[in-house]
Amino acid sequence: MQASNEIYGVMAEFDSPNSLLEAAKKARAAGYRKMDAYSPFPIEEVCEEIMPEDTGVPRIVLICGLLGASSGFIFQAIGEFLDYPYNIGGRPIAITNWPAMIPITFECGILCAAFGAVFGMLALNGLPMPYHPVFNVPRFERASQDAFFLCIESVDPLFDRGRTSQFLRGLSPLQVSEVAH
Amino acid sequence: MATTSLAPTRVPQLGRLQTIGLVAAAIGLVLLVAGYFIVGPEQFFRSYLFGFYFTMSLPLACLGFLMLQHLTGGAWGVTVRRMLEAGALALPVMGLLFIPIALATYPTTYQSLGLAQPLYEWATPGVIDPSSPLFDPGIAHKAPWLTPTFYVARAVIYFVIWTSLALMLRSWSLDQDRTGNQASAKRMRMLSGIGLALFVISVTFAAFDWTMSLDPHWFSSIYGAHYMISSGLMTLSFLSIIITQVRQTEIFEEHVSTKPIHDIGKLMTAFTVLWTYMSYAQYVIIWAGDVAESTPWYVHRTQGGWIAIVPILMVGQFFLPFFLLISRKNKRRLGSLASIATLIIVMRFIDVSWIVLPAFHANIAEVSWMNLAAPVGLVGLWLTLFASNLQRAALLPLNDPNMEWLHVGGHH
Repeated sequence: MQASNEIYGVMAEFDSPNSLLEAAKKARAAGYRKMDAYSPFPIEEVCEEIMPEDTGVPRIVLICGLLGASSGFIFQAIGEFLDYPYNIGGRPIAITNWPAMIPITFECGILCAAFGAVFGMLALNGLPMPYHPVFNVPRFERASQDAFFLCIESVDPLFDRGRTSQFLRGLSPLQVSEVAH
Repeated sequence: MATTSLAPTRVPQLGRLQTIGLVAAAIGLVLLVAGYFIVGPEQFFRSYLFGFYFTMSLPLACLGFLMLQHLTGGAWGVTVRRMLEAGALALPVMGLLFIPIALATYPTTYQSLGLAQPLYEWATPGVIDPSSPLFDPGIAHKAPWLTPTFYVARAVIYFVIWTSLALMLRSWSLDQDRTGNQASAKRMRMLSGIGLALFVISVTFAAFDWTMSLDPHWFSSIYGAHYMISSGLMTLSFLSIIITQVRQTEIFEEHVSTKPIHDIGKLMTAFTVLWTYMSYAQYVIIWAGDVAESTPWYVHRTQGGWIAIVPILMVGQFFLPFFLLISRKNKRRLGSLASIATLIIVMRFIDVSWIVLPAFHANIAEVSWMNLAAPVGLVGLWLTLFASNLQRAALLPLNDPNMEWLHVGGHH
């Protein structure tokens, strides 16, 4: 196998969402995992083919949500039961007061889960990214208008400069180009 | 897009389902009638009302979702539309099944059914008469609403609304199957907009009438919304189980991918959270207000052993399904989704029992076996109607413009 880091990857252009989906399915079936698709609008079915089994974001959201909810609850408990016990409408100054504490607990859980989702996603996908090699491909700006691209990246263990280009050409694309770093 | 006339889809599993429903209906209703003589007419009508209220969740939520998906579109909508139509189409029969409840409430008929008292406390002669020893000023205050005649008249109005909506939406949908007429889709959408508004109002009042008024002093404005959301949760769960039965059909194999199943899983997650929100909101308002006219309802449901149900509901109807359903894999694998759905349906039964039955049985140990016979019988009957209606049309409305949602890139 050739040294993979000479180029960023190999990119194929397709004329329709369906041919992009077909290509993504075939690339996945061929064993490629490190790939990405570029289209003018999101195509859920393509996401399913190119997405890693586990992006890591769901776990971050779950952990942040649970941490947020429990810290929201604990903050209220510290305030109400320890630091400043105060009789509000005769309601108990004890854990039996839990129904009154649910809204804040819920809000803190949602807030932290949302932060976890946004910042976790940014941390994992590396955005914002001022430079990206895929823009070296001719006509790539059309990806936000009417063109559909599939890029197999050189970090994929199966990647081979010659054979991967050959493979993509076999999927009846409009063009195949190498993506320089 | 196909514009040819569509034939009904044959599914052997649905035939089997129809038989299961029929057997359940026979067993449940025979036991219920036997209970009339063994346990007594009082228990018969109480259990019947409970079973009826529980069963009504299914056709009502089918009608609600049917109108909702006409308005929103979406892959899940066309996938389950025929099931929703089939379920809602049972509403006229459900209307006939209301007659025993009406007779047990009406002052001139309840005695001939063997009842010493009408089914509802507020219908007892004398409770609104200031000169009677039974006089109850709390009920007298609500007398303009809670009279047997108005109660029955309202039920008739509800069923007329629901039946007309179900029949119209079904006949236009079948018309679309026959002719591919694109105007039908627009007509169904227009009707659904008006229909959904009528639906929300009528179901809210139906829930107030049928079970909230069992405790005529108590009121909760969220009660109707709770019934609608709970019914929606149960119906979505039911649909995901039905999809396991029809998944292997040719028409489903061809058109239905994982996406609509994932969507139904997401809706189940949302409705699980909504159920929790409704249940909690009703409780926290009454708990925080701590006013003598609204707390007894919860006192009855936490005494006499009924408190045991509360942790079961917290875990079984919220924590367990919620944490199982937030996993993407569980929502996309139909087998897992159907297992979670089964848990939810069991919990729905326990929740409705906890809401309705303490009005009749102060102690949980007093709950009669007839409260199981009635829902088994009535749900069985509804299931038979559902399965038979579902086999009378194509399993997917292939001529509908919304079918595009099921195909790649079609949702943009």
